[in-house]
Amino acid sequence: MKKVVVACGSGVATSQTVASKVESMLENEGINCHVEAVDIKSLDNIIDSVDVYITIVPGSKSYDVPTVNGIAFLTGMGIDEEFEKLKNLLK
Amino acid sequence: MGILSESINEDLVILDIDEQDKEKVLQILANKMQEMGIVKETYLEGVLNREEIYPTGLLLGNYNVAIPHTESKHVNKNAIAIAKLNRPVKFKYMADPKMEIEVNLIFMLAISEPKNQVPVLSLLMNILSNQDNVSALARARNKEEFLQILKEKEVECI
Repeated sequence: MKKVVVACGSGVATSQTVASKVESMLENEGINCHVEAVDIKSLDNIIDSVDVYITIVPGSKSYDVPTVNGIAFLTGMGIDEEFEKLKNLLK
Repeated sequence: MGILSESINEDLVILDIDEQDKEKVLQILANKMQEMGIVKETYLEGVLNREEIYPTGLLLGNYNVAIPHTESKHVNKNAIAIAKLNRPVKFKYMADPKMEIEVNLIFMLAISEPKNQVPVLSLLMNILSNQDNVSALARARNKEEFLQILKEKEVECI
């Protein structure tokens, strides 16, 4: 199963909310995948095992993993575009 | 009543704040939550520190919001404190901390159990991601009207 990680500053609110939104959107499209929310400090430990990184903390370190804009899933602005991108990355 | 309305305590809804300083506004909300035993005295500092590094201002359109919060260790129980500002207050933008945005509504989150709080936050964000809803809340004339709008929008968003 493909793995998606969402990271934010403390891992308590923003990343959890985005992860839950992404999970339900993928589910509606019949895409089965593991979505996990972490705090930014834990990201280094798991980044090598994920297929897509959904970022909420801008200007943070960049990784060799395809990245999607997480704030779109929080505010709804630009969400269709980012969701398309995510779906393509999970194909 | 929905899960969001249920988790909002009327005493934690403060409308018509004239304060122009972000820290002072957050202090008003944090003090209120501390008085009620919801957060610890370290909460405000935790929020302000986090806001510097990982800001929570969200650009939504004509009216913008901020969702300041911090780690669970500063919190005793889940709650949301709300401030409606008479004049917008500058917050750093979540997507670009170098940028400042004018915020009209603040939803200050006290989160003690992140997993349990997700449905409430998701619902809140669903409501706020519709600009018409945000405008209606920003224009509410009093607390009753504000809470009534939130209740109605919650039902539409479920």
